[in-house]
Amino acid sequence: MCTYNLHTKYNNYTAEDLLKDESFINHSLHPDEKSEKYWKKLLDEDILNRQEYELACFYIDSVQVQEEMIEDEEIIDLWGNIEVTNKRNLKAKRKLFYIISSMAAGILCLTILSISRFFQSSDLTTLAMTKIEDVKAPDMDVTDIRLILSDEEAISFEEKEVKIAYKQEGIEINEKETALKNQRNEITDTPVFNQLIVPKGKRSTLTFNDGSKIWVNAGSRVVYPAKFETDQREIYIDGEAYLEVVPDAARPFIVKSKTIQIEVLGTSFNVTAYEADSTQSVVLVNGSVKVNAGSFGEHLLSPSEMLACSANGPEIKKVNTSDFVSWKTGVYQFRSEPLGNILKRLSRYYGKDIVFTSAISDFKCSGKLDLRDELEEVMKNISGTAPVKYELSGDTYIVSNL
Amino acid sequence: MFFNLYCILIRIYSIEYRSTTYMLANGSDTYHEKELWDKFLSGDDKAYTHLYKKYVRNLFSYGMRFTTDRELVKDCIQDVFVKIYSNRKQLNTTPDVKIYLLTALKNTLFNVFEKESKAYTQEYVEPVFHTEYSIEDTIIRDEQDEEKRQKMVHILELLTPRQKEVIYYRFVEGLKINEICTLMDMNVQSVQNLIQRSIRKVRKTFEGKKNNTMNINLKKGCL
Repeated sequence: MCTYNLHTKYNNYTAEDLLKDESFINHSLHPDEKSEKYWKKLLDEDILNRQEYELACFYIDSVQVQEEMIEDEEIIDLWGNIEVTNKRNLKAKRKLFYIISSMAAGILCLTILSISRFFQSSDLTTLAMTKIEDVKAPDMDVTDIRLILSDEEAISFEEKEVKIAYKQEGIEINEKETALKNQRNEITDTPVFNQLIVPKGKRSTLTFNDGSKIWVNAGSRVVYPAKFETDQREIYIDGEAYLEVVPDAARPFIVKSKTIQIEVLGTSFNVTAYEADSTQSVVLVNGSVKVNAGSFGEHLLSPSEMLACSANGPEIKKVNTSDFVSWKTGVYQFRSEPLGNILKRLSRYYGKDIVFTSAISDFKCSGKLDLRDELEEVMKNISGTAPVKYELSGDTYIVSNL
Repeated sequence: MFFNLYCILIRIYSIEYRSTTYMLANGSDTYHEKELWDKFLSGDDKAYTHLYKKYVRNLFSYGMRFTTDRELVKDCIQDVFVKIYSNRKQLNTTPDVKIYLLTALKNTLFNVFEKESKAYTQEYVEPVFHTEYSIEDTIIRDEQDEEKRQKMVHILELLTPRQKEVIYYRFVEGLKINEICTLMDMNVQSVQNLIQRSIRKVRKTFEGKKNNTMNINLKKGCL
């Protein structure tokens, strides 16, 4: 190729010359396939003296130093400080226009409320870190499905399953219109976070105003704004949910949980992220998602892949997706799944306590269970298949070795 | 239906700033740095976040060349970013954002050192650029190699702090000569001389070993 001929200038190059040469330095610091080839060719064709080249390489190699690295945590903390200071400066500037007496109050306000307050203000929205994950679950245990619209307003449902849909005009429950309205804080013009609590033994579907739909499994909690922002759709999940996200390139859909964060455009996937469980997982059915597992980095999933994130870090493997999303249609399907996991899921699904010995928790089981059956029936099926027996003591099932 | 396969790439930029956790990832260079800077100047807060994300690691490593005090370096980085944020209307567009930020950090650090030395009524001594060359970091192929490296480290340790600084910029950071001139307030010739001298030292040390091959080359040249 002619580009090679252009570089006969390297003919009498000494190490000193090379170390002045921009493209040589570039290659040494950031070699890529192309540059690798290029320099190899210069050497192989004896255009460039090998000894000189090696001396130059050796030189660069030797002057590399151990860099002091900043920790990820430090980066985040530092950014927090910068934001707080910027905010304070901004406020200070504005305050010049106000009465001085408000200053003392303002500073007091800032120091006490800085974190919680300023994230919600609109002038620095891009800087502010959304605090959807800080929305608290209600203190008391609920036994009914509960939709919390605001501090003052909450609705309970006695049914086993509830369909909730956010429409432009208001909220529909089980496909019927209600007087409930999508709320928005009129003072700060920021969205109000709603919360759906689905206790053990219950299920629910939730349709957002953009058409995206999620199936919320038993023992789960979902936090979301009554109306999505114009630049993103963000929800928080503690528990398990299956999501079908309507594509919208301008508004990425973000699912947060305690340890992972998933970013999507339009796709269907399952999230299992119970705050109480040590492993959180994402199973992608369609499309593509990016999972951010905090300090464990980011991972792009392809369809049929599952990312399971535990304390040991994330693990990605191919799975049969229907095993993981079948619960939404009332079937629980599994493949060489430890019995302990199965029982844990059943306990959540039916809202009944199931106790089992560690000896049986590692039994691997495969098959299907019909979740429309009563738990009694399901337990019978299990004990007929696996070498275990069960007994009902009060309200608790006890499963043990045969 | 919405089961379309969507390309994740198109939105990489648009969601880049959503959360702090996201900042942990190394910023992809979707933005040219000058463009980023101009966006920031025109009031784009996302660009500001992106600037921080993009340069904070680099700035920190650089700052740690002048002190061992991590907190001090972080404080100075904070100062730099707060300052450019509040002065953004007065700032000019710069062709080289990285150098601009590195210089700003260096100045901030030096100002602190100066203030401190005044506070303790000590004579102000300009902080020294320090590097630690170590043989352990590199893979050692054989004994001969190790010996060679030890010699090399010895030579490098004998360099003046200024020489070390130049070498660091040029061969670790990969900065251009004119960028180094800005950072060190020197002219092109002196920078090149500093580099030249250090290389010559290295050659002298290893000349002996290379004699054979060099002779052969000379003979070839004669023919």
